[in-house]
Amino acid sequence: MRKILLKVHSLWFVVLGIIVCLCIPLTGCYDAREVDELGYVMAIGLDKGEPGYVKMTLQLAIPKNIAGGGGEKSSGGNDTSLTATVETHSIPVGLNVINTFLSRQLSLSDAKVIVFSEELAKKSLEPYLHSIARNKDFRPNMYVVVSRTSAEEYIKSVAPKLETNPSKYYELNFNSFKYNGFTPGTTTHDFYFDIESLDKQAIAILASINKFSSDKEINLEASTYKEKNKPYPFMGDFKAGDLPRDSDAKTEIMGSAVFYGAKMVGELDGAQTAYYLMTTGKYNYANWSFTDPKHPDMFFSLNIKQSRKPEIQVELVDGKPIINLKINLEADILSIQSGENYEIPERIGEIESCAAGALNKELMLTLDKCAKQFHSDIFGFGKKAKYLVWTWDQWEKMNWQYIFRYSQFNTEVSLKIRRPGLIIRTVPSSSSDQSKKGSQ
Amino acid sequence: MKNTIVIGEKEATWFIINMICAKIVLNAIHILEDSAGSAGWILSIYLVILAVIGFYIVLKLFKIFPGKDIIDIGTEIGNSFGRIVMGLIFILSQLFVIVLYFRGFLEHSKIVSLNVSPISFIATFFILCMITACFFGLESIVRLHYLWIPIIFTILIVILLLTLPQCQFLSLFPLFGLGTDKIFINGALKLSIYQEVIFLFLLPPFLVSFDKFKSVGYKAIAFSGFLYTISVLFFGLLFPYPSATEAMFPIFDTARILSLGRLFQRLESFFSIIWIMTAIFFLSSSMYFIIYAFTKTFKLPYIKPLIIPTAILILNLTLLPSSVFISAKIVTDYYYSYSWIPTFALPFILLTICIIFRKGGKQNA
Amino acid sequence: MNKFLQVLNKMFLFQEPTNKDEQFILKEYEEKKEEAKVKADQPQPPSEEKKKQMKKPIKIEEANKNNNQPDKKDKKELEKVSQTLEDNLNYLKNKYSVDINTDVKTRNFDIVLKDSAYKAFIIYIDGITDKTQINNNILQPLMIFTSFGEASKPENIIEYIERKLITQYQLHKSVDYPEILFNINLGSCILFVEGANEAIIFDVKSWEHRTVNRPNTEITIRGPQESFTEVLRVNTALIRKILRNENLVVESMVIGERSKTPCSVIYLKDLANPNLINEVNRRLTSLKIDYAGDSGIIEQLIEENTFVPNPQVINTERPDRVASYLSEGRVAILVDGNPFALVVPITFFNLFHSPEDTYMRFPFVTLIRFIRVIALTASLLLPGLYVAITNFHQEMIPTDLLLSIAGAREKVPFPSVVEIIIMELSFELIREAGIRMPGTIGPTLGIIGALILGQAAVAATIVSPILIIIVAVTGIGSLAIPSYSVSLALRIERFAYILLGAVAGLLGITLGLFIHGITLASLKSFGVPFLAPFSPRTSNVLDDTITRMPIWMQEERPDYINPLDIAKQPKISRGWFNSKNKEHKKQ
Repeated sequence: MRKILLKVHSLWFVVLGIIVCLCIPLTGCYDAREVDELGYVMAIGLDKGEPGYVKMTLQLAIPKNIAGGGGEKSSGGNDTSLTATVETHSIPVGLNVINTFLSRQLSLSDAKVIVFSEELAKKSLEPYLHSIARNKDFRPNMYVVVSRTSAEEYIKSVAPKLETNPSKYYELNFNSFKYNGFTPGTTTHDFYFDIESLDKQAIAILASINKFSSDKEINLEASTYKEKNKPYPFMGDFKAGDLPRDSDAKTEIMGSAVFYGAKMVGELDGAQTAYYLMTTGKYNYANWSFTDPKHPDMFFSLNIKQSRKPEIQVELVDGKPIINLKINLEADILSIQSGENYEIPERIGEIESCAAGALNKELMLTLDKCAKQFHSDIFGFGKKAKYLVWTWDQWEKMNWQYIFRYSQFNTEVSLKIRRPGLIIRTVPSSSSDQSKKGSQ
Repeated sequence: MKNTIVIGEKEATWFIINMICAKIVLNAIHILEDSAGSAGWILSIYLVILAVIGFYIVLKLFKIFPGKDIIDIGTEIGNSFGRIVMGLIFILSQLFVIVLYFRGFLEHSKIVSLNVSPISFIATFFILCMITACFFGLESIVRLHYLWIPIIFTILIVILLLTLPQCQFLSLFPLFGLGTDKIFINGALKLSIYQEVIFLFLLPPFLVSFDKFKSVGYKAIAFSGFLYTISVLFFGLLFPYPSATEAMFPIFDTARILSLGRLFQRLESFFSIIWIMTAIFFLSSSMYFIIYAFTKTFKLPYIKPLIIPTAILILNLTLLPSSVFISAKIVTDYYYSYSWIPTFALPFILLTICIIFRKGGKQNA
Repeated sequence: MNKFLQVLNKMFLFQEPTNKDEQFILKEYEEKKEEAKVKADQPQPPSEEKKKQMKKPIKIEEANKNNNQPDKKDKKELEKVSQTLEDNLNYLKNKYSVDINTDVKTRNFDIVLKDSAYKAFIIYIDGITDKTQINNNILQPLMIFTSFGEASKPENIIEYIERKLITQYQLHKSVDYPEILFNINLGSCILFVEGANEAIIFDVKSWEHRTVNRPNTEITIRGPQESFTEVLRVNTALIRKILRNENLVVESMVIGERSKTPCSVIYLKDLANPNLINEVNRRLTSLKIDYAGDSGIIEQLIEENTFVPNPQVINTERPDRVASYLSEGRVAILVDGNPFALVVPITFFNLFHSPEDTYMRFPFVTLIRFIRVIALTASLLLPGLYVAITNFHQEMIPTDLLLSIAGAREKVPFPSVVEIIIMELSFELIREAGIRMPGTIGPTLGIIGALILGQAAVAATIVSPILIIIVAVTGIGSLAIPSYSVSLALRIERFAYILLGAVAGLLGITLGLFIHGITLASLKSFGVPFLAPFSPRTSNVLDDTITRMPIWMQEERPDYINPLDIAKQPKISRGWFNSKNKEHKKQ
């Protein structure tokens, strides 16, 4: 009897031990958080607040509306996201405060974009950037946006109609530089390192809310074409917020914000950003239009791709840099409005040289603007200048950031037109000028 | 039982490669970048050449005493006193190393994945694995190396190659980084990166012949050098120089950048499986060899009773530094500056003693 | 309490190893020869001598000697056949309790020669003997045809009967009662003659058994469709049908004190490592158990490590599979009464080979093996990874998927771990229940039950939908593995990984993988390391483990078994390939 009791006792201990051990994982240990206990932040916005304060706006996704109700989208689109704004000293403290009135614990791992307001950027972004690098929650592929309006307004106006959740909207929208070339696709990774580096300056995406609320208000006054001495604005000659359009989607991105160190010093419009992309080799393809050489009031459009990386040489003459830049482009004809038959080899050179010339001229303007007006080498010519020295000390002594403002540029754009689409020869319509000239 | 264990050449090679390269996931790349600036890869190639030369000198010592490990050589030269001295040098130096590594891996886990858990919680898991591995013995550990380590380092190379689209070739310039004196003179101290070759010196009784020992050493050093070089190279291509020195875990940062389209974006936690595997392999093998050296030095017959006390000792020493700053400072100041001495300088001293006093059975050249 | 303390002591404190010999390691044969010589010179403990003796084929006596005869209140324990017929008859009647035991039959008759008559009787067990043979080949010659002979009083009646009278094809003589009793139990018919001190044992076995059928558990599309049955002779015959080789040896022994189950060890004499054969025999004959009715019992008794989930012995019911393993140099063990044969030694990768792998073409087989690897990973790690990732590493999941999982989980009351354990437990229940359901309904009900259960659980928001997919993929993955024992092992290990993933995320799973790997790496199956040929690295890894090379490239047998002849086929095994001689000579 005693033996049986002993056996039962020892078994009892073992069973108890096993049950206790099994209970621990059922409740999760220290770091375990269920998927539905977290609040997923899609966008972060920082505005200038009162002195010493910064206003932080967070946009969170509402999973149950995204997952369950596929057809529940209303006009505002706010069903799938929620915004919260708070005044705070710094980002981590702000997150803490927002945690108090939101029921979920914030998780920044899905944040797609960080928006700074123009005011804040012009003051300096340095206090906030180091915490972005230090905290492992901030991803290196978050897009960096400078908003011409306040960041809070921008984020609140994002109401995607084509997507179920705002994060997809951000991802797809900011990736559009690959096929339209009007914005730089700057991510936190590039931005952060460029701010600290001696050879390249940072650049951010420029965003804003479109200022025309109906199509009657559309005008072209805000375009930058006048600064460029152009007779009329082309599509790239706008900055965010000034685009002549009307649509339900109010927010837009176009152009870029140029930084020197951690301070914003200027803006570039859409076309100039395209030249930035071409110079740094990130340009993919986009549609451009140029004035027809024979008919100044008509245009022809090309789809321009970058065929090879640009060729850059940097030399130092008398302590001043001389930069030789050659950009290689190739194009397909998209439209020739005038009906001229440019598609034969004898005549193709006309539009090639016309387009190349126009591009070259604007490229020079852009480079000069950055060098002489902004003093900021966003193109990364400093990286090429490193070829000239052997050690880091020599590089620091060269002080590229300072001498860049005295640089001279020799640029060359080479454009070859490859394909005309499906039409090999343009036959003018019966009412056009061409037909009156007869068949020549 | 010990003498019937035979370790094959390939297994020993991968074993030593893992020991040397386990610190890639910690801060070895950071140290190389710090020393040499953007010329870290030049420093790495230079260190491989130095390590090969150092190993060549060590081989001459082992050729005099074939089939004997370094503690046996101490016994041959200095009888009991020599044995105890060699054994103590090995044990104390590797105990220092394992404590630093353990702390480094724990901090890695804590900063990267498990933020909130107390460090002793994570340490308990590691220690349990190490104790289990030591109970199963050397054969099992080394055999498992052959199965896993090639996969781990292949995945590491794949991670590095996948970041190619984001590499900027120009970040490597200026070519000589912080200056040739910093690279070649100060950088020579960084030979401590290869100090884990000392584990190879305990393997001759298990390896079949001296030729196998030689080939294991050369192959392991060569492959490790290759891995270090491409790691530093890719890291330097991705992160321009002054900002690169801010990174605490360079390879982790490299894995964070990986993004292939919209789907495969935040995969660095998945790759952390790989690094934890490397860590646990390193720690188990290191602990086993410390215990083994202890038993050999003091002529104890059994290994198993010593496992748990050693584990407790290592655990306590690991939790001794109060913050990551102190442990990182110890690593930079002491580990990377001095730990090449037991591995490369000590056999050289033994070799000179052998030649002077004409000891050793075989022809000493 | 004392017992508990004892268990704790044993687990945590160190005990000096007793005079246990080293674990058996399968070495090359040449080395062991010298060791065996050395061992023979040293004074051996008596148990070893006994083991050595047991190599000779008189094991039946040894086994019967160890038999503890129950203390029957009987008269003389006859060891040898007595010359008096009455004594024999009474002894046997007592032994078999003929008054109670109704199927043990005796038949008394007289053998009448020309001018002498001998009393005789036969004893047999009804039901396991062939009546026709007894009638025609034993009784008929002895009772009727005796008058055709010429001898009147032969010197040795038994010899006369054996050589001149009986027309039975298989018989032998015996003087020992243990052997006689054993043979009666086996289905033989014994003849006792007055005045003779020997008995004749006639082999008239005819047991009722299932005919050779299709295999139940290892179904293949291409390949022979025969499987073993429960009769040992039929099984050995099936193997002999495939390997028509005079070197095929079938050694017999009896295991089990009360069940006295015949058991065979089969190997190719010129191929299998004698150390291996010795070890197998040693382990089998040293078993002292009561009832050994099944090869599963024998498997559990001879395997090295009982507490590991993985099996260390393959059991198969296909003779072609056994034959192909034998031709690699392994050893097969067949047990009477059970259609599953055991094959030793094996490695971890053999557990994932299906019998069809050798019969199908190269590209298909290699890719199918990769799919099995994926199935293994999925069924082992998928639930654990799901728990680890959704609880600890949410950032790994793509945003769209993450939001849809979070949205679907809104109404679910349980944490993920509890959900997964509930679903896994219910699937285990369904699987167990499905085994016991009759015939055609069983498997169908299992699948439908699982789907409906899952769907209903989702509709009732007890579990989230993605979990159903995970559990279903896990279940299907474990069924995609050819070996049933391995899928059982996976079911256990999966739960361990779920718990580890819930406690420490991917760190826990990694450490679990490490401990699992170390356990496998230290296992040995009859002296062969379990993870060979990967570690230790032996030759021809690519031939037949995860990939399978074309048949004409497999020139060597697996090296880790250390067979006597390693070369399987020459380098050019296809004589027609690239050969200048295009003529075929008729042989």
